[in-house]
Amino acid sequence: MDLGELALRLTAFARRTFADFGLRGHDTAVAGVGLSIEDFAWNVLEGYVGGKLEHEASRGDLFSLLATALRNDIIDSLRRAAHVHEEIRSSLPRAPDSTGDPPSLDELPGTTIDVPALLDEENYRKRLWASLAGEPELAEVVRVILDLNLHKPREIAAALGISATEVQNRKKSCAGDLSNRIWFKKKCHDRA
Amino acid sequence: MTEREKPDLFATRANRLALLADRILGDPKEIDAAEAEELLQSANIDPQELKARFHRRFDALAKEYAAKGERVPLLLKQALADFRPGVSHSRTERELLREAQTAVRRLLKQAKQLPQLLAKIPNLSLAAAYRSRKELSELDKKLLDEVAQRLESRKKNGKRGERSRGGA
Repeated sequence: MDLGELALRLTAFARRTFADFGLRGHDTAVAGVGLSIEDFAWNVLEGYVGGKLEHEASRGDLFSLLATALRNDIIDSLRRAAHVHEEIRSSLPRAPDSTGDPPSLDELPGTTIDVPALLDEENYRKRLWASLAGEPELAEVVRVILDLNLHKPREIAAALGISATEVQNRKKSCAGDLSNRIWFKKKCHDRA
Repeated sequence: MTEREKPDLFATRANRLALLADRILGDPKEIDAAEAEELLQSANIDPQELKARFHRRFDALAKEYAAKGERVPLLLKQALADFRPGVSHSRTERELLREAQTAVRRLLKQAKQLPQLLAKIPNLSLAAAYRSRKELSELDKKLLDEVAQRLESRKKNGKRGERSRGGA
């Protein structure tokens, strides 16, 4: 196992997970926690090489184990971010001469995350369908996955009456950036 | 709802959303090296610079172990080798390099053990070096004659074998 390649795949997965939860950009840190995509990937790698995260072949492949740990870390940090957001911030503005108090909710910059909204499944689905407008072929695949609860390309292909290769092609046409599109309305062809 | 239940509900919602994303985008383990590079570049992360930054972090971590007088874990050593800037991008080349390094390390280890192994062998006798002598002793001549006879008989046997194969 090449650890260099593993690290790149893990960081890419961290980036995808950030986008899944509506967190934008590689330099974004989870508010209240201060960890970036790279920090999350590093924490998991450090745990693995230092022996804190042990891999047993019987528990599946190494990448899946580390990816699960990484996603759990991100979810945990979102939980802490939500806690910071709710518990520490006052809804009242600070006194004009205040220097030590944290800013109130209204004073926080627009990048502050609204965790409950980010975790709302209905909200996610609405954004997903909006992001697929104008791409009927990809939308067809997503509809079969969600409505018929199918996962395997062969099953999806059978339901749509197309080949499994065509299913893969449609998914690959935007798969990596679909999570980005859902939240940030960025089109596939905007990538470059 | 109790305070203890709150985090579970949070994790459940987050995990449900993560699973939904996996269903649409695919199992995380399906992210291969090429897709990873594409995903990183689309987020303005240069894969080679990222590896260099990780290398610096692993280097600092190895120094922490050394400063505490602890052994550097094997996986950390591997990470330092895999992330070293300038290391080939080709997986096959890197694997071959690692195999060669392991083979050389093993060879050096065995070479270091050679004096101890030789010391265990009692009355080690070495073959006579004919070239360094001006005159051959009777024993040397006898040995050489025996070798010559053996070669001669092998030659004859060989010719006989060829003839019998030719006849068949």
